[in-house]
Amino acid sequence: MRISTVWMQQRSINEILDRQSAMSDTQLQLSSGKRMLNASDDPVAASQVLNLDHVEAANQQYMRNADSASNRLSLEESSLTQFGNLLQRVHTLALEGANGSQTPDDRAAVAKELRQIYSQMVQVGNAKDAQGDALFAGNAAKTVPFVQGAGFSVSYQGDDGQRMVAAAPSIQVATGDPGSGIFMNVPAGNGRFAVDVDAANTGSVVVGASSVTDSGAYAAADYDVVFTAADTWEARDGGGNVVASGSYDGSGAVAFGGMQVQLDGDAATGDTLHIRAGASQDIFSTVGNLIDAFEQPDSGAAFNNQVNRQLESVDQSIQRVLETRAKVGARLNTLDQQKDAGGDLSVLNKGAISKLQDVDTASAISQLNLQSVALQAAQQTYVKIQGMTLFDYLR
Amino acid sequence: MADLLGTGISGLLASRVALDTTGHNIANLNTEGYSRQTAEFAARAPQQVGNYFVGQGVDVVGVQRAYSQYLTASLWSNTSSQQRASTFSDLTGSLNDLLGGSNNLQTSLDAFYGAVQDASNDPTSTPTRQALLGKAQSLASTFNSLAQQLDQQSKQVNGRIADTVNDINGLAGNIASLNKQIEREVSAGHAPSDLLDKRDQLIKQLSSDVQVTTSVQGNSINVFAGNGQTLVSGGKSYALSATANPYDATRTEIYSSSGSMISGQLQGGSLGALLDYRGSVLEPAQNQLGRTATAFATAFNAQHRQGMDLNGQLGSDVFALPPPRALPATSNAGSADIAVQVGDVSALTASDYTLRYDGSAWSMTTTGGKAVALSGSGTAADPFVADGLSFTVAGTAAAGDSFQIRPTRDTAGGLALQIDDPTELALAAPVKASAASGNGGTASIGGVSVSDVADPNLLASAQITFTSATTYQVNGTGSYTFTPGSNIDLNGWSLQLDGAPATGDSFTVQANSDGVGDNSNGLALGRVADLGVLDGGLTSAGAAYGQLVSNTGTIGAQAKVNLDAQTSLYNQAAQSQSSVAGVNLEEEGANLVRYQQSYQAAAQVIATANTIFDTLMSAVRG
Repeated sequence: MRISTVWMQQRSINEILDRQSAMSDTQLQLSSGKRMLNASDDPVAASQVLNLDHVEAANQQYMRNADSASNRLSLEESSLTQFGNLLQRVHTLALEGANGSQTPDDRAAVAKELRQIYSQMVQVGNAKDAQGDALFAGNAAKTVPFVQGAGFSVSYQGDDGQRMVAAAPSIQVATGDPGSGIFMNVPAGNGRFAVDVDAANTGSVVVGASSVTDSGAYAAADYDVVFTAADTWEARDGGGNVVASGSYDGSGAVAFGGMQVQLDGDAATGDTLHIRAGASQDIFSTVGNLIDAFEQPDSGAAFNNQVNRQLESVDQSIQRVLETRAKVGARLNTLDQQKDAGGDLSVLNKGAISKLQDVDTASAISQLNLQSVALQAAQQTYVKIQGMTLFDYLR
Repeated sequence: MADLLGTGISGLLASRVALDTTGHNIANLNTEGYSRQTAEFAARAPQQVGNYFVGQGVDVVGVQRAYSQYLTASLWSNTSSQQRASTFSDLTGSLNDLLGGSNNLQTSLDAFYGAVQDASNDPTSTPTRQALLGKAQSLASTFNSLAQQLDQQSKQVNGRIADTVNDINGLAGNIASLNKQIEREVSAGHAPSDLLDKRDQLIKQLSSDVQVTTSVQGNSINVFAGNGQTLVSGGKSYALSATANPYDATRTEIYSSSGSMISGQLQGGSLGALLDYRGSVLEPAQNQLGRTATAFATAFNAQHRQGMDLNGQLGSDVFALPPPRALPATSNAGSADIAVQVGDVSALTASDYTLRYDGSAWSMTTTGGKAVALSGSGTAADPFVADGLSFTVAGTAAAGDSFQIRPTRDTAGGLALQIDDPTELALAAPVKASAASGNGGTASIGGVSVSDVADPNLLASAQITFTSATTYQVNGTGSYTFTPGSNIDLNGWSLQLDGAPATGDSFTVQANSDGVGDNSNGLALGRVADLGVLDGGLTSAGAAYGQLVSNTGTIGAQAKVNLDAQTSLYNQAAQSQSSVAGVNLEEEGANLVRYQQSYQAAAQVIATANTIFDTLMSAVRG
């Protein structure tokens, strides 16, 4: 086959150029660390990398969200712990102070300390997070949630919303609890019903613990227990109908309709006990009532009844705060788990991206060596072939 | 008598011509397109002497040009293909670099949605909101600059098309004048090998601009492009013109000398690559980018409008989108104006459309020629609807009027941030629900969601009081039935109650004016990142961009493979052609030796003839 001189040269030059170009590509891969210099080098992998980058960016964001939520929830938990401690102190004080052996001075001292605890409670209720947002105002973050009114009454100025945070594509975690649920709508009495002594009672009946003994038989409704005689009582419903009756001998339980109420002290005819179902009372009123009770000089049945009632409410509040703390703890656990899962996922994602995108340095270097040998061979054979011409031998 | 001297001289002269030709070949070793020439010898007619013939020597009958029409035509055709592949690969390579570079839209989108989530974590924090506005601005800028760079490429491509057409016209003119010259030379009896080589070279250059077919007519070569468009016929050339597209003055179209538009018929060479690239890669990429921008802004704005900002106002549009364009043809005789809007983003495509009026009815096709069904009548109350777009016709159109519709070409370039006050970011829900504290029943609020943000009473306060377990009043009036487990829908919101309400229980739904810590709309805005918006709700904006990058990458990869294949085909064709017509130095060197020897030998013949004459003269003198 005949080959022209120009083409002989051209072919050799083309080979050299091709080798050079391949070497240059490999060198660029090594220096940038990337196997693909742009999407056309490997379109399928490029599209996968784009997707993985997006998933990883979202993953990192979820972890940041979880951090921000954890911070807020930790603040909430420490405020709730503080509040719980205050409530325990109130409980201890009230129990001690209700002891019959206490003097009016002792009771006045209790009242003073209770007043201090009261203002501390309001402060804790109005706690703010790192951004200056109220922790317990629901979503009304710039509103002070607990405002003291006349006497010891506190009104709730926040709302009932909860701020959520996205911890994972389909997991939302609440980062707060509205103060209305924790501090304001606390159930009165034993949580199901409350027993109040009528103010006009002449006897010295003191209501102790009350409970629902038979949930099946219990129907939530208001009743009045009226002592028709010092030793007999009648239970009347809202319409005045007598639903039960029984006897009482100075100390014992009144039980009917699945309910049981412990009584102590002598009853007088006409004494009435009011049973209210589903009532609620806020913690501030509870402490306020205790302060009022301890600031009274006398310590008779009325005092004991009042303290008992308020202690029941304090118990309910302690319970409510503990429940909320448990919820917060559970949320913090969820967030921790999500952060761990997110960390693991991040490692997987980064590994997948690296596998698709990064150059295998060892194989690229050995490829570079091979290519440089090939280039050298092409260059040397070119020089050799070009050196061979007939004109060298024509004189 | 046979003339030894004459024979010797003829040999000498013939060798001389052969040596000259060999020298010419060697001198033109590096001349582009040179076909080697060979001197052709023929023995002279012999003279009859008695019963036998004596030869008279040699004549040079011609200098033959080594040429194969078939191989040369194959070379031209491969030149077109290779040049097309090379230009196309370069163009797609630069597009890939652009899309995959540091101006990566996916990264900007991720950073933006990350800022949305950061703001949702701290809705009251003004610096965090300001940071979100900053990321929104940089996202809009990324869209804008990508669109700008694509536009820049488009300008360059259109400019190159015009330049290439000029080049083609120049070459065609030169070929025509060469045809004339060659015709003259041949009729004068010469063999114009070098002119023939020059003409072949010009046709090769023309092939690299656009694919041509040739036909030999006598001594001229006629050149045709596209679907039989004559460029050169004998000594005449016909110029193409590159002028503006009837709808868009910035788009260059190619017209034949008779005035018909032939852009779609030209293939191959760099012009074919430019036209193909513009129509099937660059403009769809611009449209797809715009489609991504439209999907993103529409979905984000829609969700933003469902929320309430720090000032107690319902959210407004965060991003401004330019509307689709309807470009009238310059030949339109009527006074009609078309206004286009995007009606349904999920049906939006990446095509451009042509809307035509035939005198009585409007019809629509894609620019690729596919018919699209139109519904409606074109008035503001009943607009034409097709492929997610709605058109309103104002004014009167004349028969034959047409408009080009570009739904998404300019949206990425025109995307702009409309909010500069961080308090105007609507991250909260517009309404909140609360239960009265004295409620006796077991009902609690499951949540309240907005079903129709345009309801005029959305922010009006509504107190729902239950008159029985299954009936309730609103703000003290009316009597409505309540089914436990189903929602209460009123005023554009929907309230979910869990549990059973008792008589006397009341719930209030009102505007969320103090709820600055509420981030429910912010969370929903964060979810828009992966929300399916296009293709009937299947593709998110980010996914649409990913498709664009992936498609462009695939086209680029194919172009590279194609370029390699075409280059090796071209090399083969060039080598084949060169193996017939190319000069080989060794061969010419050997020829030099050969003809030099024959020259020396012929000179020796003359010397011998002289010696014979001298011998005869001295014999006669006696």
